[in-house]
Amino acid sequence: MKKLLFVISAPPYTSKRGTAQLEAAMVAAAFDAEVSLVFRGDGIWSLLPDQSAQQVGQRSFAKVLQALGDYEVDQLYVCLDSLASRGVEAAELMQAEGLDLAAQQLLLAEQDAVIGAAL
Amino acid sequence: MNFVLAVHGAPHNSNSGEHAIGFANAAIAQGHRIERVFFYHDGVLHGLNSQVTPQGENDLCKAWSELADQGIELAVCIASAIKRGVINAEEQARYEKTSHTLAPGFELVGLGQLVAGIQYADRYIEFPQ
Amino acid sequence: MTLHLVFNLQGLESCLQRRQPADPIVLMGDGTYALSQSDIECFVLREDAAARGITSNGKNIHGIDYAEFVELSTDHNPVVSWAD
Repeated sequence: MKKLLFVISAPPYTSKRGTAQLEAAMVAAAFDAEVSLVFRGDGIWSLLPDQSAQQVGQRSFAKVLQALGDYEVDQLYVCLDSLASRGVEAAELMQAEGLDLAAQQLLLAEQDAVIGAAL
Repeated sequence: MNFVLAVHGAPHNSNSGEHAIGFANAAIAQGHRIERVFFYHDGVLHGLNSQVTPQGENDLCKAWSELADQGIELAVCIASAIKRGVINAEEQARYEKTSHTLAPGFELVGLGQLVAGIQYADRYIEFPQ
Repeated sequence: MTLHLVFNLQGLESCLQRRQPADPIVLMGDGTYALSQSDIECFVLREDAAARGITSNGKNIHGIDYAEFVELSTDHNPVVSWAD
């Protein structure tokens, strides 16, 4: 079983890359990979509650994120450094475990593959 | 060693194609195997058959075609592709479009092929832009 | 050990914050512009730097071609791309 980390560093609703990452993560989980996700940079905005995506005619990122639970993907992390630089408190966001940069170093180093770190 | 390469950037607007082609050719020359090139996001535009390469620019279409001739799978993410107008004959019929646009040597596949490739390969390398 | 591919300056910053200190870095594409303002030890894809008019005589900068890039990637895992 391979360990795959999906990185979401783009905000939702402009590029849709975040949603694509979630879909790929679900497929990976269905293929029995050990999947984790980390939100960093402007990707942290994906975790704001109360998104009303229908107002811009898109699928809700939050709803797709909730569907991850059905695939038993429960390793969701958020970069504490990215939160601090944007003045966002972890408590304001949907549930993800906060990781400092040192913890992210370790998380990266233990993966078999990292998908979308550049997105 | 087995590699899966991912191309995320469009031709003429990124170096994704040049980087992936440069890497693939060097790897093959060293006796490695490129299991699959997976085109994702804007990278699917590499599979558009109606492209005309301007004179004096890298002919990526030719380079991809040469890789395909060596048996390398050029796998285009179907979800990313159809919304950008990159469709094969089957999708043309399904959506009743006037023409199909997928270049020879490329095939439309699901995201499962990306994940299966990563699971199988020794290395996964992404060329984002 | 992880190999880091860096495609632009913002990506370099994100990478430096999250790599283990001994992990090697390859600057590619617009990542090669980092050579003009940074003295970190790294590899650089020679043709991308040359195309952009970037030169460096730093003793910690190692120019590589695609063949050497392939060798680095066989020696390291995972290979992580950075281009924020």
